[in-house]
This record gives sequence, structure tokens and C-alpha cells, in this order.
Amino acid sequence: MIKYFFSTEKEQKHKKEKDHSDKQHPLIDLRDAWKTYRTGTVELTALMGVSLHICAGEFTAIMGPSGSGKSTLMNILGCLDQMDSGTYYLNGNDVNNISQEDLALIRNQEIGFVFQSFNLLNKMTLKENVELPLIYGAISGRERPRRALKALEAVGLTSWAQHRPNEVSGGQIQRAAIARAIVMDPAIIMADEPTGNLDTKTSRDIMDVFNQLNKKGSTIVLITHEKEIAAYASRVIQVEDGKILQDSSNRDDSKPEKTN
Amino acid sequence: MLMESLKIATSSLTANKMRALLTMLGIIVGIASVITIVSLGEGGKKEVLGQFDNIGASTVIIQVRSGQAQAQDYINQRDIEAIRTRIDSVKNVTAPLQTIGHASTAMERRRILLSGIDADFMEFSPIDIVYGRMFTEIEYLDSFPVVIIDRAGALALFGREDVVGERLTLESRGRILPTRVVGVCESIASQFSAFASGFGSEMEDSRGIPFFVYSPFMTVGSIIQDHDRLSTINVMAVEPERVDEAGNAVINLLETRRGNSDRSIYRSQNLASILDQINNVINIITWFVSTVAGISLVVGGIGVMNIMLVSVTERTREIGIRKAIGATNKNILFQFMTESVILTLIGGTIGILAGLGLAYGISAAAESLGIAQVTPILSLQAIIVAVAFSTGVGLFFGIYPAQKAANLHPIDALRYD
Repeated sequence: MIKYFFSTEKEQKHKKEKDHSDKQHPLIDLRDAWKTYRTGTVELTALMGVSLHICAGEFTAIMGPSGSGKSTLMNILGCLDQMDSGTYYLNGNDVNNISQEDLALIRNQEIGFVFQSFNLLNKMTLKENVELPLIYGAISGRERPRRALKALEAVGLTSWAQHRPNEVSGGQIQRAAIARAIVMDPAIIMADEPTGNLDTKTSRDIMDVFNQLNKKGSTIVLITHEKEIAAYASRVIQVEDGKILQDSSNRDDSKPEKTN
Repeated sequence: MLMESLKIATSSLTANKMRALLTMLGIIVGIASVITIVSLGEGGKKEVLGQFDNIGASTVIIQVRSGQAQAQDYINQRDIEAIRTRIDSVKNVTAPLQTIGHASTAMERRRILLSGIDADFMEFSPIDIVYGRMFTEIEYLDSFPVVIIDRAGALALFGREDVVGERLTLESRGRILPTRVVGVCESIASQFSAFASGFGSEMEDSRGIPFFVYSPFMTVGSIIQDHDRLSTINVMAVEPERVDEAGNAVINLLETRRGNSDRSIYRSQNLASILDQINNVINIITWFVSTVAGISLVVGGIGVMNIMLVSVTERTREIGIRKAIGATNKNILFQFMTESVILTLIGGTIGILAGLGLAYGISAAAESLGIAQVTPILSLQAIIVAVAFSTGVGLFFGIYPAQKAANLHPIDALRYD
């Protein structure tokens, strides 16, 4: 079991106006998660009893080599996949045994994804891409452009709103993807290797965007295998062989807390 | 959501215009062929009905079955007189003598359809006199060599319409008869008068519709040797409700007079039974074409299914992205169903227009070749059925690909290249 203590003054200050949780109810409350993949006769246990608490306003990096189970963990935390056993409360909702339709709703309302390969739709403009979650969130057609432009403004893309992904740079595409992730004002932003396809300088720009969002109160979970990228986070969780190896705070160099 | 699905569907279809058009082809062909045949059939029915209006619902045609008939079985003037006087359900009887011949003036010689008519003929098929007059009773009785010619005939033979008093030489069956024109009538546009008097077979070798020339019955009788052996007579019942009764009474009378009731030589046909026959033929053709069209629609539907499966595979990643940001399975299902229904609906609409165009084309060709005069009629019912069918095909053949898309696992879909 993780014993994670989190209630510094600094973090409290970052709490969002939109009250996603309180100290007693962490935003992410995952307990004893198990997940096994079967391909033919081969069985691969990707998660072996992982427990994890993440509170509102945290900037957490999940690190680990490939095959460590970090992607599986991200898929489960992001409600893209469901685990075999364990419990998962996201923002107070039990999301473990709910229908596909409800999972889609959770992904729409509570989670914003940023992917390594951007995953914008190329035939749409950046603005239209950012509007997509609003459509599935049943936001009215009049409200959508206003909110999409606000999100694009937050990532500094206002003047590129009417361009298509193939007309802008990789860094700008990823900014648009971040705008899409924040447009529904979700509880958590999940970023899966968001700088994996970008050069060093652009990577820094993108991480600065995440940093700013975090300072404004966004809760961010970042999956990466790069130390330099993980360094932007305030908390780093090391995953290996389906288990959490280490859970440490990045900022005040405090002694890492050993977990199972 | 509907608006968004429509937007996505149209943008996806316009991105692959050629593919969409080819996919629609089966639907277009299916719908177009049904629309063509149904609108021509409806138009044809209306045309036939319009022609029958001239004759009226109380007319029954008595025919001698020429295959079984012997010389003494044919109907003569004494039979007609008996029918006229002895059967009280009969109001009028007429038996025009008709023959193909030529009419000539000093300058022209033209093909004509010569009809020998009696006074009762006017009750069945009114002759609309434009210049001059009808025949007088004396002319009927004493077989005067007088004629009434139709307007088109007058124009062709004399170069003008009012030719009352002019001389006209009739030739038929090797005989020549000089006559005088006493009247000019309106041309009969329809071929029905020839058809109704059982003259269709002899008209077959003619090119186009000949000009009509009328003469008193006995005048024509003097040209035709066997004029007292009629194969067709027209009988008018006193009221439409008694038309079957009148027909049966006439046949009974003829069979009693000839003593040939065992060979069923005579048959009666009235408006209703002729209409039934025509309707039957049109319905058989319609069903046949509809079956072929149905096959085309099924093939078209399979084409739609195929292309939608391709579309789902091509857009697997897009589906993954949409699911990751909150699209439900239902959203995805709806999106792809919308696309396949739009595809078939556009196909159906093109089919309706193409079918109508084809119907008008066929009718114009038939008219210019002088085969028939039919204006296609497209009923609202036919449009609704066509639209409903194309929507149904879209729904039926779209559901499998759409379900396949909807059931994609978001992670697998996102990983797809």
C-alpha cells in the first residue's frame, strides 16, 4: 500500500476553483490493480497489484522502461481499458465496473488525453479538433467555438485556429492536442509520452505548457521514459514489472518512500 | 449530434466522390428502373382510361372467335336488327365496316382507314363535325356515295381544311368509288377506334396512323363483298350496371339463332374486362422489373456494406481518437449509419431523377416512332416507396459495418496504423 502524504501549503494554493476533490477523497484512488493480457498461449501480467493515490493539483510523472506496465497503468487510469481486479475511484466515481457508455462519458468529462502521436484529425482545422470533445459532451453549437478558442488561447494558438494539422509544426499540433485535452475542463490531463515525437527545444516548450497548466490548477499525469521530461513533474512514480518501484517527490528532494 | 453526424458523413463522402458514386450505382439502377416502369405504367393506364372514356362504361364489344368460326357463324345485319329490337337491356348496336384503302384527288393519293358507319355509330364514338354535316337518313338507307373526312386527311389530300362539296375517289380491294365530301371532322388522335373495332391486326403492316374517312355503312358494303359477315359489333347497354347482362343476352341470342352454343364462338368484352387485362399486363411487367430492380438493390446494398467496411478500416484510428475523447459506441454507430443511409438516399434520389428522365425519353421515342402516346406519371406514392427502400437498404447494409466500428476497442483503434 502506498502511504502518500500530500497537503503542503504550496499544493493547496494550486487547487482548482472547480473543486474536483478534497484531501479525504483523492482524485485518483486506485487499489490493488491487476491486469493480465493473453495473446494465444502467452500470458503477460502487466499490472500486479498496483495501488496509487493522486490528489488534485498534482503533476505526476509515471516512469518506467518499455514493458514495465506504465502504458497499461495509463490506459486504466484514463478509462480506456478496464482492469481484471482491483478498485478504481476517479474523482469520487467508481469506474471499475461500469458500462462502455459510462466509460465514454467519464473519458469525455473527467479526462483529457495528450498522445505521443498527437492524434488530431487531419481533415479538420485545429479549432474543429478542439471542438470535438464538446460535441460528444453535448455542449451547444453556439458555445463550442467560444470554448475552443479559449482553450487554443491558453496554449498560444489563437492565430492558428483555422489551420489544419498538416499546415502547422509538430509543436503546434501538440499544443492543439493539449487545448483539446483541456477544453472540457477535465479532472485530469493524461499525457502519454507527449514529447516523444518532438525535438528537444519543442519538448521544452510543450512541458512549459503543462507546467503553466499545472500552476493554474490542472492535475496532470505524465507518462514518460525520459528523466529530463519527468523532471518537470513534482512527483515521480517508477514502475517496473507491473509494480510501483518508487514514488518520490521531485521538488524538495525528500527521501523517496518505498512502496510494494 | 445529428447535425454533426451529417457533417461528418458528407465530408467523408465528398472526400471520396468517385468511390461514393460507384457505390451508389447499384441503388441508382435499381431505383431508376422501378421509377421508369412505374411512371410509364401509370401514364399508360391513364392514357388507356382516357381512350375508353370515349366509349363509355356501358359499351360491350361482341367478337367472333375467328379461329373456331365457320362462315355461317359471322354476324349479319339481320342479327343486328334482332339484337336491337329483341333485347331490352341493349340501347344501341353498331358494327362499323372497316377497310384499309386509298383516297385520291387530282393531286394527291393517300392511305386511309375507311369506316362504313350507321346512324348508331355516333352514340359510341361521336364524330366531331367541323365543316359541313353528318350523313342524312336517306344517305344511310340508300348507300349514297358520300364521305366525311378528318381534318388531317383534308389537309393532306386537298391542301386545305374546308373541302365540303369536293370530289374524292376511294379505292379499296380493287374497286374504285367516286364520292363527294359532305363533312369534315376533327382528327382522332388515338388509335383506339381501330383497336376497339378489332382492326388492330390489319393495322400492323401500316406505317403510322392513316387518315380517317367515314361513309354510310352500305356504301362501304358495296366495296366489300363479304360485308354481311361481321366479326365485331359494338353493343351499348341501357345503363352501365347492365353491361354484362347485355353482353350475355347478345351472345345467347346469336347462339340461339346459329345453333352453335356448343362451340362458344362468341365472346364479349366490356370496358372493365379490357381494363383488367391491360392492368394485368402492366402489373406483370411492373413486378418483373421490380424483381430485377430488387436484385440490383441487394447487390447495391452489398456494395454499400463493402465500401462502409473499407471506410471503417480506413478510419480505425479516427474512431479510436473519437472514443478517447468521449464518443460512445452509440455515437460511432450513429455516425456510420448516417453515412450509409446518406449514401443510399443520394443514390435513391439520383435513381428517381434518372428513372423519370428515362421514362420521358422512352415516351418521346415511342411517340416519335408512332408506337404509343404515353406521358409518364410519377406518383407521390412511388417517390415515397423509392425513398423508403433506399433508406432501408442503407440501414440494413450499414448496420454491420457501423457495429464493427462501434465495437472497436479504443486502445486497439488508437494503435492502428
